[in-house]
Amino acid sequence: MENTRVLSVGIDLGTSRTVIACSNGIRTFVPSYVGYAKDAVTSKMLGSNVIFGEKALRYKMAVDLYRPIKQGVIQYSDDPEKHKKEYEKTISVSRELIKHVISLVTMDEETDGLIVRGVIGAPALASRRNKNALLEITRGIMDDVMIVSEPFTVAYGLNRLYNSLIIDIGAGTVDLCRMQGTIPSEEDQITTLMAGDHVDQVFLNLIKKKYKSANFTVNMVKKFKEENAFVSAHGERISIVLPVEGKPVGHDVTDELRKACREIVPDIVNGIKKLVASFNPEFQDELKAKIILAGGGSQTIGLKKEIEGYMKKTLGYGKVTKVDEPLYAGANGALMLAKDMPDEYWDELTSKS
Amino acid sequence: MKQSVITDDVFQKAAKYSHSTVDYFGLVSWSIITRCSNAGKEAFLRIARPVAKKILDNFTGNKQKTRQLSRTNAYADKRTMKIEKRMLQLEERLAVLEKHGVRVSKKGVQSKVKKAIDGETRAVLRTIVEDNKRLRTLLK
Repeated sequence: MENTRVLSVGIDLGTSRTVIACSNGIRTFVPSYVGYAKDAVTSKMLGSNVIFGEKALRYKMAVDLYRPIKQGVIQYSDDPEKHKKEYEKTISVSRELIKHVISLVTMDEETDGLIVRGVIGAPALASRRNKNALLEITRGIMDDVMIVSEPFTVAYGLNRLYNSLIIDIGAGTVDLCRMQGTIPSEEDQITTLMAGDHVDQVFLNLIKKKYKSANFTVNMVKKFKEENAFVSAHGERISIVLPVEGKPVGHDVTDELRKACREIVPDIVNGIKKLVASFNPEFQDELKAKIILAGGGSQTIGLKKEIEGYMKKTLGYGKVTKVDEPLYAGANGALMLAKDMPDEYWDELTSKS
Repeated sequence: MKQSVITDDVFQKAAKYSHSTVDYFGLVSWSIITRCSNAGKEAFLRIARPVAKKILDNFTGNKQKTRQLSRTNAYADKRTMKIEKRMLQLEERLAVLEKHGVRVSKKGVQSKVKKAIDGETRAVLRTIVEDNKRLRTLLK
């Protein structure tokens, strides 16, 4: 035991990106894609049988591409018995992804006597089966694991555990969670599926409808959306360059992008109203002043003002703050939890598993 | 009368001979000097030419660079381009580091002493542990 060293990690296993923060100072992310070489030739070309993230997307024609996370949870984990084969494959793919991100942060570490302890964020209303799937994919890769609600990890990392409302806008889900100084219950949380992926799909359909001759994929419009997303009524016109019969042509997509990005707003504002209205009236004003936007979607230009405007209209007042590092907020909070967790608590968990 | 004519001839001849002698010696001396210098010239040049070239090369080089600077700034442009290229490489490296995580320190970061947590935080952490214990119980 004298030679053991503990390495704490916080993981945000997202639909779009898997983000990891480690106690040795390394933090990084990988797009949640795993590619398996189709044959020996591809394997030789890629230098490996399995590739991840951007590389997997780049060589997607040469690999069998998997995206193991859907709507914030491991695919098929809601009903593993019904889709046994697919579920087993997804678990195997997810394990590869976890193994890869862990290897990124431990590559310079001496593995002898190294204990890897981690906290993984799960969507606010993830089912027990979803959480079990998360435990399953880390078995044998990490020594000790805890599953914690994602908005809670964000709140913990920002030290906003009291009377605040976290809105985590991801690719698969938007999680709204009010904090009352303890682990949020089901009544404190709302999860909506109108998230980044939904915006991508709506944006894609709108461009398809307007520019019938343009050729593009969902990944192309997703990348464009991530760089230009906005909901405000005013601003510069924006155009996307898409190929038409092989020739790159600029297309004005200002209205389409605004319309697609606005799709997520009604669910968010309704969720805020519901969570504020059902909160202890003594602290409602405090809650309205502490609305925190996190996740990739929080970078949408004008979203903060849009929510504040809605809150002023329906709730009389509202103050929204964006986190400084939307991509790392969840993983940073999870890492803080992993580090703060007393050793005896981890030991209790080990004896249980 | 005849005696005086003879004396004049002798003196004249003596003067002419003397002049011829001096002229001859002058030619011989010049010839010797020219021949000597010609004989040593090749050897001297063979030794001196590379030495002089090496010394003068520096001045020639400086002159060329100075001329480039004063006329076209080509030398400065070349240097600036090199610096720009290096900066680009550094920026790319920084982007890679940012993308794949910035290493703060290699070892010894994992402190054995945990930071002190207050009672309320401990209670929250306790709830998380209990929640995870329940999850594992149901998994069995």
